[in-house]
Amino acid sequence: MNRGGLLRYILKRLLIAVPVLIGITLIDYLLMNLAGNPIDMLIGPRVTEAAKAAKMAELGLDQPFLVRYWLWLTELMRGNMGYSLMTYQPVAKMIAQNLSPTLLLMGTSMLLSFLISIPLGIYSALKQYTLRDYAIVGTAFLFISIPGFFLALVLVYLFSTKLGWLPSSGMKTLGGAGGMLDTLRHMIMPVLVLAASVTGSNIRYIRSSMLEILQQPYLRTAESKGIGRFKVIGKHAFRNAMIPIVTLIGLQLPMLLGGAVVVEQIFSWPGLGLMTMSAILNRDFPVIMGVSLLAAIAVLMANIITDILYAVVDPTIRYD
Amino acid sequence: MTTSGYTEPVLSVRDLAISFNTGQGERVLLRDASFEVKRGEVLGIVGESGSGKSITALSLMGLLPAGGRVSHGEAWFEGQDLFTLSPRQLDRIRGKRIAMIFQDALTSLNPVFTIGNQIVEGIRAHQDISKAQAAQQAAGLLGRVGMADPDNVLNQYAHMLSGGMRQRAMIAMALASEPALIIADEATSSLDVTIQAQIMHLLRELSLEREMSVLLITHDIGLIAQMADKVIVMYAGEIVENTDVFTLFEAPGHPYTRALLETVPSIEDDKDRELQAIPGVVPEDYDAISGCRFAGRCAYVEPKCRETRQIMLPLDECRQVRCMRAQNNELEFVHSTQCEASKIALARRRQEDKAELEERLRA
Amino acid sequence: MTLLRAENLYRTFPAAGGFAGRRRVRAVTDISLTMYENETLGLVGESGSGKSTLGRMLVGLDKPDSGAVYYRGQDLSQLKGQDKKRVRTEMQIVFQDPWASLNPRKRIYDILSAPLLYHNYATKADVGAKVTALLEKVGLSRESGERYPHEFSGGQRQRIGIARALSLNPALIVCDEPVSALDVSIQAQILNLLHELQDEYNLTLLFISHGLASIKYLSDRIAVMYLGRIVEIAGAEKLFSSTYHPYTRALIMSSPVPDPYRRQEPAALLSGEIPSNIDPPSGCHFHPRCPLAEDSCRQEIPQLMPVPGDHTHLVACPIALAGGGL
Repeated sequence: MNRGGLLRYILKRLLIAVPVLIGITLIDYLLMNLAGNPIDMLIGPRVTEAAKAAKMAELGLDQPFLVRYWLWLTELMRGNMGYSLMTYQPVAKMIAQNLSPTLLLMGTSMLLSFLISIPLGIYSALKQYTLRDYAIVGTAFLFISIPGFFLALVLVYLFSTKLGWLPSSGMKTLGGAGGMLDTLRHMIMPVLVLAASVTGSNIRYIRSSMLEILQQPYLRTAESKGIGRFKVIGKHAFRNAMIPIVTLIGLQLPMLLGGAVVVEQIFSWPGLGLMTMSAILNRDFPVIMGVSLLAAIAVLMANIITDILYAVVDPTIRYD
Repeated sequence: MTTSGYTEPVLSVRDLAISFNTGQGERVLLRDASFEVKRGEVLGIVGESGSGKSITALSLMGLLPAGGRVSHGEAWFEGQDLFTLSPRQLDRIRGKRIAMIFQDALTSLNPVFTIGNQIVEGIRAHQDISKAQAAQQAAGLLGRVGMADPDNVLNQYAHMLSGGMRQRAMIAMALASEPALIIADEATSSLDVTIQAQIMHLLRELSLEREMSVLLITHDIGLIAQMADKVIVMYAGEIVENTDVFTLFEAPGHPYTRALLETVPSIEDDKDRELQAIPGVVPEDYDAISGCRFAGRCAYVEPKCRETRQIMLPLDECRQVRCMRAQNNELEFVHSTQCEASKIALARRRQEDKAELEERLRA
Repeated sequence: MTLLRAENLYRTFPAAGGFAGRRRVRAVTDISLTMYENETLGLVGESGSGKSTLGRMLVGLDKPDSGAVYYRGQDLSQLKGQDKKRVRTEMQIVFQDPWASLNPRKRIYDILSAPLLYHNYATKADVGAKVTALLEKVGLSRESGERYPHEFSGGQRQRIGIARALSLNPALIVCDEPVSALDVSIQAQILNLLHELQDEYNLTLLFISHGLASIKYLSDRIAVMYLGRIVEIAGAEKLFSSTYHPYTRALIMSSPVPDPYRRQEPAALLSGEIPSNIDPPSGCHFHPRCPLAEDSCRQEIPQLMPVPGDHTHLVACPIALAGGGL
């Protein structure tokens, strides 16, 4: 039966994810070792050499690789990602603090881009070769071509410098009370910049997928049953269009974490991107490694979610 | 031309012409097509690829692909000219009074919906009943078309079924509202031989049972011989012969039909039969040819054939052909008295079929 | 003279789904076959019969999981180097899809001259003449060499495929559904061409098709396959005049005869679907659909046994053999 097939598929998918997860942590640990002595990553500042050596022995850091890996892994699972070389803060805490602003920014821009690109992409395909189609595709192309930073600067110039409508940096007004509306005002321009280019390519992808679907014989069968043109497109075609849309979601989910680096710089948005940038510039290895690990896990989870979503919308995948 | 006791025509097509808007301007891909289908009759349309048989069927259902349109003609069905109807008006007929079965059931069924969903949708488009009631009807239909375990099939997707089962599902879908006419466009061409035979016989049985007319479109003249009562032969966008099935095989009137019969092997052949290949190929820009379109390949061609536009005329009581030489009595092979024999054969066949059906129903 | 001998060939493929290797498609199961010089052997079967797989294994395009193919007494899998190359040129194949089997980026001249040059059948000087001769042999003009595949019709492309197969003077040509993708009015052209060429060049042909009528037309002997096994093999006429195996009979009864006076009997038609060759029915694979089936059919796999009085006519059905033919 079909429900059983779906469940079995999900379980299989999760099962396969476990060795991948282990692989990720292994590679991450390997890279860390290449970067330097792990003890330097785990301990705080102001520790003497002797104490360090004693600690190393105690923690078993003179042990073979796999043992050390295991120790590190157990620490990791307790939430200890080491300490920043710069701020001396626990890396885990830093990430947690900077995660939500990034998620907010990226989540909103992703949502916005899909809300615009799905209807426009489908509409454009239905009206292929008409003026409206060309207009939509042309605009999409325009937005793909404009570099993000350029658009950002133009917007800042226009709305902050010239018109003074919107704040140009940060997440909330300095010294102000904060609040949702304030955050919203700060969010508008960065979200627009982030959404612009992605929306452009989404429109084109959805449009070409839809064009392919419109060629399919099963639409002709549906029409031959006399169910009406609206249902042919709205039910039969659209349901198949969900498959390429899921592809897009899957590709863009990982960007929820890391896609905003440049934009966060320009708008001084206190997110992961900003944090990672300065960590890179300052060779703050623990932070960099922590973010890499997180990114890898995020991609893994995005893949799993995407695969499951595929199985939900496309019955041909769950069939064994 | 009533050769078998059928009554009023269910479908009457007159002077149909279909043109397509291609990159090189508008091309008339079908012209001057007229035919009739009587109630309960199986009309076979035989032709090769590009002969126009598919677009004829699609035009009746309002399903011509983008760029195609009916440029001339009428299609009278149950008191209405189908070509004058808007898509909304057509929706009340298609799926209900006329249904169509397509060639490749795998791509002709929506892969993301269950079979049940698609059959129920067709039912509820024309009947005001609940989903549950429609599902019951659907199960009944699947049973009627020979599907083992219909309730299970309702929940399956197209890719889970075999080719034969998918085609049965399509037939069930087409039967849903008891149409007066079913159009089968190469419905079994992609199926295995033993499965094809099953499906074809199912169709013929259903046609007998429900007095349902069938428009059987195929390139396989073997199928035509087994299934059709009347036949029209198409070549390069024109109907070239219109006759009944017995006359077609025993006394074809058009050189193309004759050549076709000589070129197709049969399992009943002697080992020393030689297949007569038809030289040449179907002309690509046939719509630009004003004279006979078969002239380039015809064994009986004469200069006048290429110069004169050929028209459909009766040769005798049971044959119409589009060939001036045949019409002018210049072709030997055309002389025949088959018509009487054909009438008898058709009547007898109908009787046999009916008797068999009754026996099946009693059993 | 025996040209080719296959002994106990087995071939399976991994099936979609399931863990790797667990479910297998049993494409060819325990097939032994002999092909004689100058004959045309027809291989007929429906989906899942394994005929295409068998055809490929016989010319060495695919390796059997077990069993061997002997060409003129030599085991194909044991050939190396020059021998292997030579045998390769002696066995050629014409494919089904005239659209996919020609490289769209090469001119016909290049397609045909390449193998000639590679195997040193022609030098740069005389390859042009050889290509022209080939083209004319299959009924195409010399100028065709300058054109690209997409400029030709399906029938013409199939002729090019045949020319390509002929170019290395093979002894054996496997024709895998050579006319199935062509229009009806063209099929006879290609079938007749193959027949002529066979006569002229003393070729041996393996003709694979699902169409009984064209198989009967071209073949001297016919082998009928069902779910990976041969169920009957006989001379072309004999297969039809004294059919033994119930599947062969069903196949014949299901093929529509182009004669309205000879109607199919619905009662003679097979019921049920063709089973999947992933998990074929036990014993005789045909037993679920067979009108003659008995208990023993479910348990024992029938072997090919000769028909009384004709050792060239083999049937894999003890019941039919006992019953004396249909």
